[in-house]
Amino acid sequence: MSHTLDTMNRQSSSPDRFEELLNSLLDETLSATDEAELAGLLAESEAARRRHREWMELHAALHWDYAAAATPHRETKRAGEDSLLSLATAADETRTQRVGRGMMLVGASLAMAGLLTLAISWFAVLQLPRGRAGHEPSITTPVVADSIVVVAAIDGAASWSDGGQVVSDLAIGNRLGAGTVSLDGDSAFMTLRFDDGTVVTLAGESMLEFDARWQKNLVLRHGSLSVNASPQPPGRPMLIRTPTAEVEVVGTIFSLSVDAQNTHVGVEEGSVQFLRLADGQSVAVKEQSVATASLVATRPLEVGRPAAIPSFYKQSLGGATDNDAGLKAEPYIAGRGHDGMPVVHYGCKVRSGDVGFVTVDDDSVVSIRLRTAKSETIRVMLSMRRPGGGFGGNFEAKIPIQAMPMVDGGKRAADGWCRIDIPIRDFLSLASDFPSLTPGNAVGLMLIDTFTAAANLEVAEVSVQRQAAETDAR
Amino acid sequence: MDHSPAFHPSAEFLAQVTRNQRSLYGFISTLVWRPADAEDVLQETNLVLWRKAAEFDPSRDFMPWALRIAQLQAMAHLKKQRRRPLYDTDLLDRIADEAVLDAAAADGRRQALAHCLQKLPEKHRSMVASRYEPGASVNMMAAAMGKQPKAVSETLRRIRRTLLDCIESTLAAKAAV
Repeated sequence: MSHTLDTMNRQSSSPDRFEELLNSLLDETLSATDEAELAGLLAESEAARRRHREWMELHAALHWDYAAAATPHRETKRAGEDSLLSLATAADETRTQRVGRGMMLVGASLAMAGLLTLAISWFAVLQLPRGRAGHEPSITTPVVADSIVVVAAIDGAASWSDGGQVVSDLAIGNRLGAGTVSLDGDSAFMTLRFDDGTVVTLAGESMLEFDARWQKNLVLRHGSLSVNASPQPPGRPMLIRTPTAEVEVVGTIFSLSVDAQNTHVGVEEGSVQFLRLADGQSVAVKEQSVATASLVATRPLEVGRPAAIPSFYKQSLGGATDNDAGLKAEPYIAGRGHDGMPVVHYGCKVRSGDVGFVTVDDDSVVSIRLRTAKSETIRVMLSMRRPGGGFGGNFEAKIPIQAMPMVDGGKRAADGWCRIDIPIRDFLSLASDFPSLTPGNAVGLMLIDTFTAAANLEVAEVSVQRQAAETDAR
Repeated sequence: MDHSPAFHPSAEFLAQVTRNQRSLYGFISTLVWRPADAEDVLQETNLVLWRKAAEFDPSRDFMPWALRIAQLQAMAHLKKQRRRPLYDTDLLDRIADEAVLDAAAADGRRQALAHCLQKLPEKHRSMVASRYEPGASVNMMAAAMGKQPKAVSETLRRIRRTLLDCIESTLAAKAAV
């Protein structure tokens, strides 16, 4: 080998031998002789290894985000204008939706009061004179120049981070750049809308990283994600990775439920390519089908139909005798105040399965046997799942303690246990995208909570059943 | 029925893993140059990181720890192919050691690449997209374009050279500000 790296002109448009070898390596056209030559050069020179590193990094970056090259060119100035226009649009959207939402829920709870405060603060920001372009971001307005999604719906404690700044006072209309969103608390949810109309909804304790600068790459670390994907550009599918699986999407409606050991996918429309990371096995999951990938790959990756979910559910949680304690409420994060501080509620959770544990119909009734240490408003929240497991909205009913029907001829039992029956029609939506509770959807999570620890809520039994069945049972 | 929360690594740990996927992949690619192999090693690395989450000391830097795990996974992956000159253990150790020291600079180069890609002529961006589609190869491109693979590879070399020069000048300009 007659070349030395010192004589290789990196800036020259004409190739040197070393560059030819690197290029052949990337294009997998390197002969055995060439490979030995390249290895020799790398072994003898740190400069060669640096150049090799730069070429390999370029190759890796292009491979990871190959669609960048096909992304339409956007001038810097134009991008800035876009972001300002987006901000004005987002602000208008925010104003309308937040005020409307605030009117619906005013006075409802401490958490909602926190959100209203946020809405009012946001509205005040909008009123400040900001010049020709409209409204500039405030410190509570996480609008970023390279935004790729808009927050379309949100409830509960959510935060976004790009690895540097962290924003924990997200609101509808905020535009976010590539980063990680986290939801705290089982009652939280957030819907993000990409510029092409693709909508993703996180529900419950969840963490999602997203990046669509070059193509949509999502990493769902844990939690539940529902996706309504617009048709993706040819050759540029949306990719979703989890600790145990990878999903390739070209345009479909599906959901993912992820914990450390398993990834469950349920497809409503279209199909997705589902890859189990443990052994690389890949299957197509078509509509109305489900599959689960785990860390253990001893059995073939199978696609099946969703299990039928009953319309009757009854679970005893204790309280069998007068002195027997029921399931005690535990603190959880129900939201965040405008100062970013968590709003804590005290609740009991009932949850089972990835796709819900009981379906509801118009005549379904939720019954709960419970007791509290003091008068208190009880909130019952149902987090619904569509067939297949997709998020179907959160719905709540609030029952003041005075309104509770008493046992024993209208009197509260001596030990304090009482039963409340809540018709399904009394549950109100917490998300505008899901205005009503759809018959046939399943309860994925039931949360029974109070706003104070002093209430000392205990739950002894929960049941969900259709009224006709309940009448028969009596 | 589940009333108890499942175990999860800390949010900070998860954020570190997700935030650094590209960096890990880039590092692995310096050792395992076939993209499909590099992806396999990345997945194996992620699984090991996940299993070792409890061992991670948050007071230490995440990346040096994660890069060493990635290096071990890459070495294990290449074990069967060590007869090949480029998989010589000593050489790989040197490449890996220098890549670990250069990890921060690699992030800068990757960010500059986004800017440089946008400066490419449309036909070159299209060519890069074709080359880096999953499963694509120079031979397939050549067949589709009615050209010799060598000619296609040479065009790609010029595009890569252009991108690397752009990255270098972008970083130099940034450093001068």
